[in-house]
Amino acid sequence: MIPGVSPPRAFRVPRMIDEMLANGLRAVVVCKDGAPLTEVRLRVPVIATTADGEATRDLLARTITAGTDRRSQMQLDIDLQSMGARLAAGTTEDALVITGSVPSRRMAEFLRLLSEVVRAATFPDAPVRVERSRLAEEVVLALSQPGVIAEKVFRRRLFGRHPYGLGLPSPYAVRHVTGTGLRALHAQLPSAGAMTVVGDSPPTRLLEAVAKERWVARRRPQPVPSLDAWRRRPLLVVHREGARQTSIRMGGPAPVRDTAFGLANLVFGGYFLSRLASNLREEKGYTYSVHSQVQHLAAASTVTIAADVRTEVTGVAFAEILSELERSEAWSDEEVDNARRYAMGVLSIQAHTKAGLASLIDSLLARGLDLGYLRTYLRELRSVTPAQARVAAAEYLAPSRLTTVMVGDAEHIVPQLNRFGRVVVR
Amino acid sequence: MSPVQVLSNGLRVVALPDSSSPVVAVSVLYDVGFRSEPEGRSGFAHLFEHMMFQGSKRVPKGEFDRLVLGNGGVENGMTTPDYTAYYEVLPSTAIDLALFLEADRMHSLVLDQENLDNQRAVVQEEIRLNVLNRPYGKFPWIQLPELMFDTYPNAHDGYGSFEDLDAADLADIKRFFRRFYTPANAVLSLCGDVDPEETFRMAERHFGGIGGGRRPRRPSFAEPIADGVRRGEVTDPFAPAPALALGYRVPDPIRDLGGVLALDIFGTVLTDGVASRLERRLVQRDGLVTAVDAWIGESPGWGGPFEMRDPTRFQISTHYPRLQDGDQIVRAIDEEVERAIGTLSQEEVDRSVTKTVATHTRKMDHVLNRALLAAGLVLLHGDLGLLEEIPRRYERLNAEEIAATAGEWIRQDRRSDLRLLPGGDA
Repeated sequence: MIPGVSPPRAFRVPRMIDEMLANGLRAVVVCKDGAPLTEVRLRVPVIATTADGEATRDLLARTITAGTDRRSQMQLDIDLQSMGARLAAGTTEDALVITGSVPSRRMAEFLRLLSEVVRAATFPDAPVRVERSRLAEEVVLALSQPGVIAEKVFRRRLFGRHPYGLGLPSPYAVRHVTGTGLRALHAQLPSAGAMTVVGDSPPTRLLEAVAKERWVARRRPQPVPSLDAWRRRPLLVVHREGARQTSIRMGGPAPVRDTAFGLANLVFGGYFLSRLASNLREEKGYTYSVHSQVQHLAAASTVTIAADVRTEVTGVAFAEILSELERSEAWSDEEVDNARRYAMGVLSIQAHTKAGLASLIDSLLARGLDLGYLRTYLRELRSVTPAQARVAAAEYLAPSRLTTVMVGDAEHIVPQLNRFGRVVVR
Repeated sequence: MSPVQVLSNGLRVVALPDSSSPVVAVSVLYDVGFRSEPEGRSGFAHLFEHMMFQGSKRVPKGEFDRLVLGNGGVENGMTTPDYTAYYEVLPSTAIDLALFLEADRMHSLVLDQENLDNQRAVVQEEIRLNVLNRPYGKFPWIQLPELMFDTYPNAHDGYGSFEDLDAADLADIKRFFRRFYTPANAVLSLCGDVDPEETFRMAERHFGGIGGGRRPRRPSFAEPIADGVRRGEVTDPFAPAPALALGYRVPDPIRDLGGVLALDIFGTVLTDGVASRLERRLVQRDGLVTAVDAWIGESPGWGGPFEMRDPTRFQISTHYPRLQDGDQIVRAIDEEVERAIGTLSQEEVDRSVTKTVATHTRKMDHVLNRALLAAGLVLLHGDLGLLEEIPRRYERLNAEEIAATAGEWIRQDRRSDLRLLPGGDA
C-alpha cells in the first residue's frame, strides 16, 4: 500500500513589521529561525527607456560598489569579506535590486556600509573602466548562448518598442557608458524603494537598525510607460548557424493577480507533472527542458512557454504544444489538485530559508503587495475550483493570443513549419 | 541517540532534526558515479539515474513524480564522479511516503526497453542543451580531466558519448542495478522536521527487508602524479572568445582534508573579489582578462572539496579577449601564485576564511544542502562528525600552513595547461 499523506502543517506567515520610514523608504522586517544570518534586499524602481539607458542601468548595478566618498572599491571588498558578508546588485525590468547577506552579529555594520553605497557611491574612473570591460565581455559570452539569444529575440518580438523589449544591452552600448552617465543616473535614483530584512532579532530591533541609517531622499520614481495593446505577431524564425536544437519561445498577456490562472499555468507547463513535460519530454523524448511560467512586471503580466527541442522534431514538437494549448477543458480535477498541493508545498519550501523568505517578500513588494497577501493567496489556493482553472486556461492559454519565435537552423526547421501559417525568417 | 544508525542489511541512515519549518529533505546516495561506469559505457551512471524515475514494482511509471510533486514536494537526481544522489524536499507529513518511494525503487526498479529508449533520448537532449549546442559546454569540466588524467575512470566524459549511450542495453542496466543499487552501498539521510527515533523505525520498516548482500568492492581510482607539464588545445565551434584553464592535482580529500581546505582558501585569496590577488594583477593592473576563477573539484557549483574522492583537482580558469596572448596570461598567473606563496598574510587568510565560513553557513540554512552534505560525508569520509566541524576546520588554518601546502601542490612544473580556441563569431 502506498502511504497516504495527511495535510501539511500550514505555512505560518512570520512576525513582521511593514513601515514607511520618514525618507520614503518602505521597510519590511521579519524575524525568523535558522542560520545566524541576516538577509537584506533593497529594491529601487528604475527603468530604462533606451538601449543606452539599459546599458547604463546594468553597469550601475555593477559599479555601485566600486567606491564611495569614504571607501575605495578595494576597501569595500575587504570590509565585506571581513564581515563574512555578500553584497551584489542586479537589475530587473523595473528596478535595481541589491542583495545582501551578513552574519547577524555584523548586521549594524553591514547596514551602514549598504547605506553608504546607496547614498554616496562615487563611480571612480579606474574601477568603472574595469567593470565596463567585464560587463561588455560577459554580454559577448551571454549573446553566444542560444537561450539568451532566444530570450532577446522573443522579448523584442513580444514587447516591440516598449522598454521591456530592450533585453540585454549590446556590448557596444556597454562600452560607451561613462562615469558621468552613471553618476547622473545614481543622482536620480528615487527612494520609493523597498527594503526587506530577514534576521534573528525581534522586528522592532531590526527596524531600529534600518531606521538608524540614512537612505536616499524622497523622490518620485519615473513612471513605467504603459504598454500599448497586445498584438499577436506571425511566427518568427531566427537563423543560428550550426544549431543542434531549436529554442522555441511563445508568450502573451497573463492576468495580474489570478490564483486560478497560476494553477492553470502549473497544470499546463509550470512543473514536471504538467501536460507539456509529460507529453514532450516523458512520452515523446523531444526535449530535456520544456516549461511555461508567469511573470509579473509593473506594466505587464505575461505567460511564456519555453522549449528547446532537437532540430528534426521542431515541427511535431510545436504541433504538440499547440494541441496542448487547446486541450485545457480535458484537464482532470486531480491534475488541478496536484498543482494546488504543489503550489502550497513549494511556498513552504521556499520560505524555509532566510534567503528564500527574503526573496519571496521582495517579489511581493515588487508587485506592490505585502506579506499579508500570502494569507489571501493561500486561501485562494485552497478554494479555487478546477473549473475556474480550466476557464482561466481557455482564456489566456489560447494560441490566438500567443506570439512565437524560434531560434535554430532555419534551413532545416522552416520546411517543418509550413502548415502553421505565415512564417517570417531572419 | 546517535544521528547515524546502520540497518542489518548495511543501509546507513542519518536523521538530523530541525523543526523550525514543516519541511523535510530526504536523500539517498549510492556509492556509484562516473568513475565506476564500465569502459565503452561512458554516460551510463547518469543514464541510469534517469531510469530511477521510471517506475518500480508498486509505483507505476509516472506515479513517483505525481506522488512527490502532487503532495507539495520537489525532487531530483544528480550524478557525480563518486556518487549518485536522489532527493526529495517535501512537507514533513510526507516522510513515510518518501521513504516508501525510495525503498520501492531500491528494491524493485522496473527496467524495460521502452523506458530505456525514451530516457536515452531525453539524456541525449540534455547533452545537446548543456554541452553540444552552446559555447564552453565542456569547458573546463569535461575537457580538463581528459588532459590531466590517464585512466578511464578519471579522464572520461561523465555525460558520455552518443555512441556509448546508444550501445547501452537492458542487460547492462540490470547488471548495474544489481551490483550498485543495494542497501549496503547506500546512505539514507533526512534533515528537517523529523523525530530521529521515529525516522529510524520507519527506515527499518521500509528498507529493512531489502537484501543485496555486501557492499561491492570499489577499485582504487588513484593515479600517480606525473611530473612535467601537459598542454592541450581544443576548438569550440560556438565560442566567441578564447579561454584557458590550468589544472593541478591536490591531496586525497579523504586522507588529508586539511590540505584540500588549505588549497580552497588559497583559491579564494587568488580570485575571490576585487581585492584578490589575481583579480588585482590580471584584471586591474595588466588588463589582460576580465574575470578569473579558481576552485577545487568538478565545478564551482557541485563536486566540491567535501564531495570528491582522490584524485581531484585545483583549477584556475579565465576567459579572455581574442587580442590577448594566452602565454602572457599564464606567465602573470605564475608570478602571482609564486608571490602569494611567498607573501601570504594572515589578514587575507582570515577574511577569506570568514567569507568562506559565512557562505557555507548560508548554504546549510537549506535542509536539502544539509541532508546531502551529511550523506556525502558518511558515504565518502565515514564521518558525520565533520558536518559540525567544517567551520572550525577552516578557521584553524593559518597563512604559513596554506602557503606551504600551495607551494607543494600548485606547481608550474606539474600541471596541465588547456587552451580553448574560439571557432565562433566574435
